[in-house]
Amino acid sequence: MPIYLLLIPYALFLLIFLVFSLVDLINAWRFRTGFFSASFLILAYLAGTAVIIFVTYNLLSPVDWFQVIGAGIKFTPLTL
Amino acid sequence: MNIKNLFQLKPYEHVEMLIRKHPIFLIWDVVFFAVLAALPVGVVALLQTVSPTILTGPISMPIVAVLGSIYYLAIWLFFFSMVIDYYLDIWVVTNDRLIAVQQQGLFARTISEMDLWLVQDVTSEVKGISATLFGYGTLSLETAGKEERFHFANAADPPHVRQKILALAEADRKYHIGNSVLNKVGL
Repeated sequence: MPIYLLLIPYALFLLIFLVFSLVDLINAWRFRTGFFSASFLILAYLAGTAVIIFVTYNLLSPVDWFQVIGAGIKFTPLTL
Repeated sequence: MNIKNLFQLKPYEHVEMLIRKHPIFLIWDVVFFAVLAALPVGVVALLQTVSPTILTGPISMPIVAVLGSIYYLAIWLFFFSMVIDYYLDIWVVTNDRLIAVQQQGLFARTISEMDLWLVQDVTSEVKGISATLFGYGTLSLETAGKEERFHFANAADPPHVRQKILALAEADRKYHIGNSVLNKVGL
């Protein structure tokens, strides 16, 4: 099984994350009680999300996604 | 659009105060998030003692990275939802009425309002060690005409808010009685 298959559930999760984030962001903006407080909340959330995505991208970009799990790899604690 | 567009202010009406939960509840949310964010650090340290190559293995590293990314995005979203819930649960008190907005999760909110001149009783209840220390409690409003009661749990500084609402209700009552007397005499 090639490890790029891992990216399918991850993409599904990102889709759900995007939908819920949009709902939260729309709620925060539509029903805001102050321009600056709402802007700060939204920007902080977007910045935090960007950091997590950036770190994930940096970790995952060098990975060879066509490696196959089980092809010549023994699943011992030292080689996994 | 903002919260003021949920209701139309009358020409003589202005917002007197906004009542939210005590900030200590937001701080608890932050602490809870910090604990959840720190958990994987312990898990990684534990995994490294069991299997030192788990974070560098060609197969295990992407798996750990994807799982970690999902975990952090999930708790970040969860934390933001809690903050939004805190931010959007609010009582707007004007010189004429009280509008209670309650955010219930992501997809539901309740908005109700009450004329201040109908307010008969305002009760503030500060109960427990934590509530006494930090100064939060429950506010309850009763109207003259209806059985309906408005409750706001964990409001900040409830005795002060109670006094202010009572003063506003009294002023509004005088305004309405004054207007009805003027109407009766045809002025």
